[in-house]
Amino acid sequence: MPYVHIIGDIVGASGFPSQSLFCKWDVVADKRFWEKLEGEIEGQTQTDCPADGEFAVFAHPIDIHYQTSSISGWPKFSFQIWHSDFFGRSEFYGYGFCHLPTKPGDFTLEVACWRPQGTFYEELRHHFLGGAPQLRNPELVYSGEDRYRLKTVTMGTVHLQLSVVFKDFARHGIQW
Amino acid sequence: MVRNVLHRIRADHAPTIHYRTQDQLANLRLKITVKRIYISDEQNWDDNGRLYTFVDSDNKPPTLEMERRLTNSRETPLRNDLASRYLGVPRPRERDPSHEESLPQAGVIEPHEEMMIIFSASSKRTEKDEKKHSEDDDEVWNEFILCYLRAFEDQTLQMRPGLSEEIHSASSIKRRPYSFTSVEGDQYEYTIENVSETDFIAPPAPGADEAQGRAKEKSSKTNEPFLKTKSKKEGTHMVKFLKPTSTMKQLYSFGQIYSAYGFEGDQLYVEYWVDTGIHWRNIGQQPQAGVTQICSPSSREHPLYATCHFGMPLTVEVEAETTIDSPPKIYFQINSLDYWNRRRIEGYCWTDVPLQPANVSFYEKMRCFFIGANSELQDIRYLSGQQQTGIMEQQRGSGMDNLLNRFGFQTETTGRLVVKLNVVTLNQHSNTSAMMPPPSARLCTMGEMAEDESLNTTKKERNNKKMTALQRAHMRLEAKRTMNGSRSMDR
Repeated sequence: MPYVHIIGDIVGASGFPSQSLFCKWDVVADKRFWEKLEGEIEGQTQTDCPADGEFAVFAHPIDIHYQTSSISGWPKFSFQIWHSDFFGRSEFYGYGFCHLPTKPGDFTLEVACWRPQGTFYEELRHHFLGGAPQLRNPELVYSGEDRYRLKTVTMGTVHLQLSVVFKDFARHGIQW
Repeated sequence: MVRNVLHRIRADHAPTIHYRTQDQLANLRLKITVKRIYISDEQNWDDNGRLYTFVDSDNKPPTLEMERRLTNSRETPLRNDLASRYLGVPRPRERDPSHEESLPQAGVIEPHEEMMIIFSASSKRTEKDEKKHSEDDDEVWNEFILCYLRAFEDQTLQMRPGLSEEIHSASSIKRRPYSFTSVEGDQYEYTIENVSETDFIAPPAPGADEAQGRAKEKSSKTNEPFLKTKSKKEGTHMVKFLKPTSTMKQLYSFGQIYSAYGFEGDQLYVEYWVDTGIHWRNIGQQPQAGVTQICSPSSREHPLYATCHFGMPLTVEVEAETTIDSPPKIYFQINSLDYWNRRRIEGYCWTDVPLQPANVSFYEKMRCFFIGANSELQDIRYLSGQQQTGIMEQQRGSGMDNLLNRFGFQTETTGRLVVKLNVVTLNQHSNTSAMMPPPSARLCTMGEMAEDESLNTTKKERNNKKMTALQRAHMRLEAKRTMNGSRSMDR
């Protein structure tokens, strides 16, 4: 059985409207083929208020060991970025996803984030009071279905640093 | 006795699932069990739930699917323009066999046949209270689509929600139910079950040579994983690695339409179409065409560099014979909507799916065209010169063999689209000699070497191995020394 090790960290986030961000993340792989043997596949980072600049640093560790019986359903990282404001309220900032690289090695990845757009009044309220609309079903972040019903606004970028190790891939005829 | 109640899934939040079918649609049998689990008003309760279906040949379609909301925003207009164009409401379609085949275009593929299974909770329904909102922002329905099926010509079946998840326990199979609430406050749950007599829904990876896989598994059983895993007990459902047959190769590309920048319009969306050509066969369950959301750039940026983040997954899973070397192609069409929701085409571009495994980010390589105001390509394959054969034959007649003639096609360079692809290929033979691992893959080969020193050998044996290796190294060193010595003697 091929094995995949994912070691790395969520470096941080940049390009969001304001700082003091935190990030909820999870790793999704097709459960019919992929089995997590060890490690955490979901989590939440601390809230980071950068002293200067706009790069919020999370340095959140990732260490996962997968076993698979198919290439299909390759693991995906999905992210939700939240903003913790002055009053301690959590405000939603954006969704994003990326695939695990299909090559062993060290990778620096960037994840494009977006949030659903509300009506004019909702956007106005969002600007002054916070609280953007969220998806009812967060699976939409990493599936292409029903996307055409959405209107979204571009948000910032999440930065990832991953090292990927494959085992027994060549033996099973997989070329990467 | 403890009865473990399965957690219900809100049916209006449930995702769309794709299945690959291997039989005629007429042989599909579904069993839907609806159960009322809570009655809000017991005095005035009467049993008047009805089930009915809607198929695309009926002429007055319900608008229920359009009203389903994806976000928790209460005010977002339920009908956006893209949705009404693509999903729309099922239209009756002509099925005239003489009707000429439609030319491929990017965007959502029209289903071949579709069907809604609808539950009507009350007969006292009026047009006014079709849908109300209760206090806790849950949607309530008077008529509810239990299941929305769409069948496509490439033998995929799209279901929303999908078949109920089966949970196997020691004695029986339980199915995780879906739930919804009616206008009167009654709660319902239901399960969807595939009871087709034939193997209607194909196994996950078709073309997999099972016997081969099993034999392989047997031979590799002696190799213990280098971590003590719990997979032996729990992962019994994953017994073999699925492989293509010996003459076939499989190409998997996991990518995303990442972002777009440099376009004039404000609200962009991208339509794509994967052209597998005649050689490649789609084995995935994903549709071969699709469309992203409508994305606005963040207002803080300079309009010239305004970027739209799509983050739209784009998965290609195809299979072909090992000799084939013409890659599948992906075509993109970038559109924009203006303030009055008028559509404009911002550009066209295309890319090959690399046949060699790669991690690529195509933005330098892509060419974007913009063709005049609101003119649209009829056949998107024109971009890569792979038009329909009819035109090619005409050209051949006029002595223009294999010549891509784009004269009279005026274009303008527009922005850039960033697409990221991760490509993996799979074939029967693990021909490691033909495929040298790239420098970045050193860690992987080290892992395999470590595994060859299997764990069941004792420490002594391993020490012996080390000793012999050391001796061999010594001998080689000696040989070299003597050779060098003789050379220096010659000098």
